[in-house]
Amino acid sequence: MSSSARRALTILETVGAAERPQGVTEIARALDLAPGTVFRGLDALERAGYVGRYQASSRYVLGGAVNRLRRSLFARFHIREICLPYLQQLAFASGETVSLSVPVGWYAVRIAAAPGLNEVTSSPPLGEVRSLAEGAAARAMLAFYPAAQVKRFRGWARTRRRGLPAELERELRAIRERGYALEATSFAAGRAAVALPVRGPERAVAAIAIEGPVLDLKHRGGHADLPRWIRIVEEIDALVRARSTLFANPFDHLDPDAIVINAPG
Amino acid sequence: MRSAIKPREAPPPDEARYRNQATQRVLAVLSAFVGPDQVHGVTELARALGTNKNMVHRALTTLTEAGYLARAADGERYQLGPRILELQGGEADEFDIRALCRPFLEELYALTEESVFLSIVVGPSRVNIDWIEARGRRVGNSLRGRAVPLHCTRMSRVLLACLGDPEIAAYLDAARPLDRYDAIFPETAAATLDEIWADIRRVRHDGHLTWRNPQQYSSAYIGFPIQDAAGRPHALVTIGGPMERFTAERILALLPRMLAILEPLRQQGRLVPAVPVLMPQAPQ
Repeated sequence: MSSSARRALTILETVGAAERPQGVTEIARALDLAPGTVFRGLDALERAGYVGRYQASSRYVLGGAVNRLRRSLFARFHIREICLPYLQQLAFASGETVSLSVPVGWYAVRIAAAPGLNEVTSSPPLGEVRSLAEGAAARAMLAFYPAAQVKRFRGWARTRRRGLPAELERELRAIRERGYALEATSFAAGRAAVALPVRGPERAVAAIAIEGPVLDLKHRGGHADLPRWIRIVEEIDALVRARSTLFANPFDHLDPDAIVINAPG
Repeated sequence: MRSAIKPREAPPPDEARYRNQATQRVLAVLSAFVGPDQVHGVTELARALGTNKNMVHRALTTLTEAGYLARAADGERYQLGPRILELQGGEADEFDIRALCRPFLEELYALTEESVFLSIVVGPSRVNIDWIEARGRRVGNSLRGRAVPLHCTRMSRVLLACLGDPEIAAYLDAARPLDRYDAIFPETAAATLDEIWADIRRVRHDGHLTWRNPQQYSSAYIGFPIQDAAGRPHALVTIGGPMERFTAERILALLPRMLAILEPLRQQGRLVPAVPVLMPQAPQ
């Protein structure tokens, strides 16, 4: 395949990874390429809708075609359609933003969310990628993976130089006992967000996170409504058991060790 | 053969154009994977893109090596790869229906030069959230921000048609008496259940609804629902104009071009599940 196509993909990644709109010269410098080469790559990418000009300037941002591909990827998870009414129900019941994460290889990806009732929210973007050891949603899933897979994940994390917290095993055990994962929030001391696993026949197939600090850690049970929220997610568990093909993960046939996503942040 | 110490030069213009075409072909192959459940093999892609299998095969190899595509579960065909997730930071990922539809409203206005409206379902009502008003004598958005019940006005019924039959039946049951809003919405005054269901069937059969409003200054409309993969409603796009200009013949003549404008929007709608419609419970 022409190296120009590969170069164009590298230019696309550079535009995607940048924190602000990129000009030809900046990209050329970052990739050690001639500005003319970068310009031609950007021209091809712009024609196909993969990059666009930022506010009619000469700097570039990712274009609509990228977003359509991302949405197409999310659309492959049919669990999203099934869970959306439940996410809304939980968002209404808790007042907080409620999200759905699924495993992709050894990562957790946030693929859907129902907004809560607060005027100010600080939700991460859809498509946010974290390792299975990072964050309540990811750990809620990892805790309900078979021991052999958790071991394999640890090996992968070591080779990828992704630091694992020393207390991970202890925490996974606590999540298994409790049935859900907790995550302290920086802006509400003594309170925590909660993530509930959606369990398939062999392992967790997703996690649903109530992203606001709903649980009061000083009180037993955390929140009077917690049992009700758990029951809502258990309804999805029952659906998974009854119709597991609907919840098939489109990446499960790939070797998880070979999936590498260099997520920004 | 190129010398290792020769300074890098820009390729001659013809070669550059050729290379750019090669890049565009690779991007075209990647774009073919937009849509729900896109899994493709070499032969069908070559046919769909009107190019040869060899070139498609090479593009697939490049894209798979880069992680943007992966082998599908059958081991033969290809699907989107996880590395697509690395590309963030473009337009917002949240499905902002108004921002998404705006360029399409503008295109429809440019085509028809008539007023164009965007509406969504809010609870048991339709609300217009965006519009472009035509110049001169035109259909105006006189009810700015007003919630119109889903059975009142033909426009609302296009959205009603996207709900499930039991849901519609429950809504209509709760909306009784149906003539409660006749004074406010004379267009559909004295409507019967049969008429409402007839409109619903028409929308489902044709994929759109055309109607006239005989009240006051006569006007004609065509409404297109934008739905998700399960047929649930994201929004409604309506075009309306005075009947002397926006005649039935003109609507019919413009229909293929309106559909062509809306097709990319409808495709995108199928990728994202619609926000669930929350109906108040019928009084017991």
